[in-house]
Amino acid sequence: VGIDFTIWGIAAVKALLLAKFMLLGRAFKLGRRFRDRPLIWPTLYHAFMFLILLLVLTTIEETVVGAIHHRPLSGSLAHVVGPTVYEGIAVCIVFFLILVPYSAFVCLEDVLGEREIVRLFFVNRPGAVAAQSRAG
Amino acid sequence: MNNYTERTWVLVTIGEAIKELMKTYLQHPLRKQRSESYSRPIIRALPIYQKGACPRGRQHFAADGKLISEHAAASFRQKVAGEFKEKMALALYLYICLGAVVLLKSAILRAWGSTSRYGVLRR
Repeated sequence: VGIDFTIWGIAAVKALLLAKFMLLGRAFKLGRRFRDRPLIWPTLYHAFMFLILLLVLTTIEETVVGAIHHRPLSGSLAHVVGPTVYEGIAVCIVFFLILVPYSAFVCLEDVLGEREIVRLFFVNRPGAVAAQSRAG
Repeated sequence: MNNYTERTWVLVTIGEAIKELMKTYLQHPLRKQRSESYSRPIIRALPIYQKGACPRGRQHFAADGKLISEHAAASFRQKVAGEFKEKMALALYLYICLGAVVLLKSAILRAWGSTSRYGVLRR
């Protein structure tokens, strides 16, 4: 009642598509440089590389969709980030900020191992007290 | 004066034993320590041969003593399930984040009197 569900359905499909793109980037081991530096550098680099990957793949996707719908190229490109340059920059920054926590998770996973990080984040962390006492 | 006696033959025996023991390290390399803390110094401290033998760290041994990597041991179904879970988690994360942005945009546009429902370009 008064709620447009279509846009949320499109958003869900778009999220699934972007997730697939990100998994592709992960499969190709994108953004795996500066691994010997402090974690902030590989994290920012990973986020930046994934941002570029998403922009490139989304542009290709929108171009193909535009070609199917007989839309001009400029109209297709406007669907990628927005109709104006400022909106495009804003979308890129927002997307970069969305990618930073994910990249931090991935970089931390490289250091601690996949099982360990999943256990620490989603299962339990019984060693936390011991680690705190060691640090103190 | 003491009663220490030079027993060089003991060293010869131990040397042989160490040689035999070191061979087993090559046959069954050490597994990387799984720790909550930063593991890099531990990796550096491991012998060089292990870096070449098990770059991924985790390994299993079959009944006949043959080395099997974890990736090979995982079945295809488990891999597909893992990928699917990862994709769903990523999609949910992106859906929440992008949904929040769309809602914010919609709220701002409505506050400024826009008739556009979500401020999203229509196809």
